[in-house]
Amino acid sequence: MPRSKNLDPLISINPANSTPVIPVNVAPVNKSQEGANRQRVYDLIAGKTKFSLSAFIARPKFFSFGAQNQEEEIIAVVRRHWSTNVGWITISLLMSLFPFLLTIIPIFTFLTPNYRFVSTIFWFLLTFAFAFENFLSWYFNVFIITEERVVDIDFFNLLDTKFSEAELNKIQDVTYTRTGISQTMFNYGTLSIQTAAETKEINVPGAPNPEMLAKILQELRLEEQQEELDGRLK
Amino acid sequence: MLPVAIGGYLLILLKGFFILASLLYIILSVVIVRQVFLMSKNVQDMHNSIIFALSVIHLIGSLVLLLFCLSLL
Repeated sequence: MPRSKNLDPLISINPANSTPVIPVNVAPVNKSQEGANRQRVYDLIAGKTKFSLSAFIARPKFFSFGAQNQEEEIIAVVRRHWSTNVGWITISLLMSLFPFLLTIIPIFTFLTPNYRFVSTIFWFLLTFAFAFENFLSWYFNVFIITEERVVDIDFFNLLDTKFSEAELNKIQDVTYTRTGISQTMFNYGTLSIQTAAETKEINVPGAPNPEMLAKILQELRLEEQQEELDGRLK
Repeated sequence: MLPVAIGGYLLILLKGFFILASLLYIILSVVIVRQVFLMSKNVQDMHNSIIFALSVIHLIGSLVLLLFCLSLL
């Protein structure tokens, strides 16, 4: 198997006993390479918000997840793009206006005032539950990129949740799709990660700036490969 | 206009429906509180306490709804 071209200049053969001699300055060269990959990741996410209610949170200070290791740095937290929320927000607003519409067009006059009062409260609670459930689906449905792995926490509805993770060195392929007017206009799409881990594929629908996410993952994978070469795999 | 007798039966039926619906709604509210609690353990963010408080307020609202159903109707 051919050896990596990057390693060849670093290893010389001792003519006395033909054993490979690794120069002492190898580690600093690799460290700088590793640091360069990380710096490129930081450059990519520079200027991105740290506000916890945004769709893309770069290096958040007040965010952690259950299975997080100590000193494991979170690079980015990704939620669905905000424009994917427009539908349920509009429906919730229309639902909350419905009782006021009934005061203009009185169709439930056969009910006593008490029944109408209770019905109105019931309707507002239902509206709140609808909006709240959709908000929770957005808020808790997160894709997390750390320096060690990617974590996907799916919150489909109130009764279905799914947790999947893959280490960066298990990632085989990263692809993204951006289709349609809305996704092109607002720059979001579906990020697909093929892995050699137990979870074969991680899909992140509605991911903001999928191109940048793919680049971040590429840089982190390079960094992880560099760490493996250094024998400093964590 | 409905005849008085039929209207009375209809209101009793409606009251039963409201009480049953509000009981089911309380179950839904409890599920929401429980789910928010579990998800807050998985994903810790600075707004989790506000979201948990909202889910509890929602549960209190559904209990108030049942009280209204039992007392006003």
